[in-house]
Formats: sequence, structure tokens, C-alpha cells
Amino acid sequence: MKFEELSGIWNSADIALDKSIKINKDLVKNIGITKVRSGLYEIKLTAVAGIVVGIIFLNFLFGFIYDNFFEFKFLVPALILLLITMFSLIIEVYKLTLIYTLDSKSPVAEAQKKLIRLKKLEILDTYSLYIIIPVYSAPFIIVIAKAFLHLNLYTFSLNWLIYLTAGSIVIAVILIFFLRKNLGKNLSKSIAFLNGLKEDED
Amino acid sequence: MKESKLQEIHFIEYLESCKKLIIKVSRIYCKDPEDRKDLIQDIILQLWRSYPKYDKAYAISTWTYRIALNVSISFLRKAKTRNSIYTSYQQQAEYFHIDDTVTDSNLEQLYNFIELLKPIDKALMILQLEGCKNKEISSVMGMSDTNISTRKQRIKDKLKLYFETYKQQYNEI
Repeated sequence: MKFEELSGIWNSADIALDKSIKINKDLVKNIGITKVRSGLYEIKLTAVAGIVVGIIFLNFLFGFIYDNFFEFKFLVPALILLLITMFSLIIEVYKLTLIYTLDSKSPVAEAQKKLIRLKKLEILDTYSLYIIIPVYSAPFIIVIAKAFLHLNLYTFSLNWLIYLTAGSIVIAVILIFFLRKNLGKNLSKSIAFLNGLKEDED
Repeated sequence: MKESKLQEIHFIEYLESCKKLIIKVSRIYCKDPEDRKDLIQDIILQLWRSYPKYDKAYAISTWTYRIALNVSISFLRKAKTRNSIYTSYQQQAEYFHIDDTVTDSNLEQLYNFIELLKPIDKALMILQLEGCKNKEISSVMGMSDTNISTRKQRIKDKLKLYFETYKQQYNEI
């Protein structure tokens, strides 16, 4: 079958469709006040919350570092927390920038590449919990105990540190097990799509 | 008359002019009728949100194609993750009453063929069937003319093979 014939078949559907579609005008009139929750809305909300909490925590950490600058055993955990928090903040800010610059009016390839980047970030975010939770937990408890309870946890037996780290690894594994259900599928679909876009550009 | 009211009227007129395109694009990207309704709602909502910011530098068709295709392709990938509240809300509200049952066997075959293509090639096929020139296709897709031509040729080869196989099978029966 020639392409011109197919074009004819495609256009012939217009006549039938013209008769079978009726616009619900009342509903369209109310469209302006309709709030729809999309997947992006949820990511946006999480990113904003992450940034707010991150900034508050950074502020606290800077104060803590200033107060304990010469106490190496407290300075190191605080610096670890500072690095991880800053890394998370950068990711969240980048995510928000991507969402706000996402424009469905832009060319298909461009908009879809941005969406895929966003999806990859979400995946990176989830998998980074494998490292962040175990690395974060012990320094977090040390810093919080010192800052709010004036407690030096190093005076206790260090076994708690080992148990806490081991426990946090288990928590990270369980958490990711539940979070990644859709991630693997999404990632492979996204990569396949991106490869599809690239194949003729190379 | 208030500006917002005027805008609503213009939008409904505009929607009337592009309703067939929306239905056809959604038919290509969504086989399931319920999912298709969701997709149509998504496209209309996105069109409405973007309508006040319509850039006259682009033809209205180019603008509509971009939004409809972007929403459809994104819809395809987030379809499994949409939450139930959203779905149930969407099912209650239908902007279009549609009966898009395909009765033409040739059209059915055409849809079946397009179904086999990758999402980005589906978009290209729709634009070509709509009669868009290469320049408009590359503006909608954001791809170079060479890229578009290579893809078009590949689709045509696939199409030839598909209909030859179909004809052969039909003759055997």
C-alpha cells in the first residue's frame, strides 16, 4: 500500500470522528479552576520540602561546626552531614529547575530529554539512599546528641555505632525494596526512549 | 465581556478545530479506552494552561502538535504510576463524548502498524499522515531535517514490509 493511500485512509477517519465527538462545553468552561495532581506536582512538592528542610538543617550545621571547630570528633561527623545535605540540596534544586523549565510547548525531543533527566534524577535519589542512610545515621545521632542533649556519645562503648550502621543498612535495603518497584521499569523504558532519540543523531 | 470569558469562548472554538487531532493522537498512544480518556483530559488541560501564553511566532498547528505529542509520550511513561485518586477524578470528568470505534478495516490495519512503532516514530508518522512538511515536522520534533528524513525512510520500509506480510497472510486465508 502506498503512503498516499494511507494518508487518504487517515483523513477519511476525520469525517466519521467529526460526527462522533461532542465537546462538553460546560466542563471546558470550568477547566480553569480544575486542579489536577500530576506526577510532576508530587515531585515538585517533595523537592520544595527537601530544600526547606535542607536549608534549615544547613543553618544548624554551620552553627554546630562553628561551636565545635576544634573538636575533631564532632567536626568530622558534622562535615559528613554537611556534605550529604549539600549534595541533596543541589539535586533538589536541579530537579525544581528542570520542572519549572519543562514546557510542553517546546519541541518533542527537547521536552522528552528533560523528562528523562528528571526521571534519572529520581532514580539516583532513591538509590543514593543505599549510601546516604548508613553514612548519615551515626554522624546524625552524634551531632544531635551533642547539640541538644550536650551528650558525648563517644564516652559510651562504640558497639552502638556498629549496631546502628548495620541497622541502617537493613533499613536502607527495605526502603529501597519498596521504592524501586516502578523505578527499574521506568529507567529501562527511559533509556530505551533516549536511545531511540539518539540513534539517528550519531 | 470579561477577558477570561472571552478566552473560554476562543478556547472552545479552538478545541472544536483540533478535536479530531487530539482523538487521533490519543488513539495512537493509548489502546485502552479508559486510559485514552485520561490522556485526552491531560492533553486538553495542558492546552488550556498553555493557551494564554500561545506564541504567535509558531503556527497554531505546530503548537498543538507539540503539546499533544509531548503529553502523549510522557503519559506513556508515567501511566503505571498515576495514583488512584487522580484516575477516579479523571473518569468522572469527560471533556469529550466520543464514539471512536474503528469500522474501516484499512484504518484498523494502519493503527495496528503504527502500534508497532517506537513512541518518537509514532509522532513522526502522525505528522506525516497529517500532511505536515519536513520543516514543520522538524519544528515540532526539534530534530534536524536529515534525522527526520532518515526516520521517515525507515518507517516507509517498515510499512512496506508490514503491508506485504499482511497481504500475503490475507491471500493465504
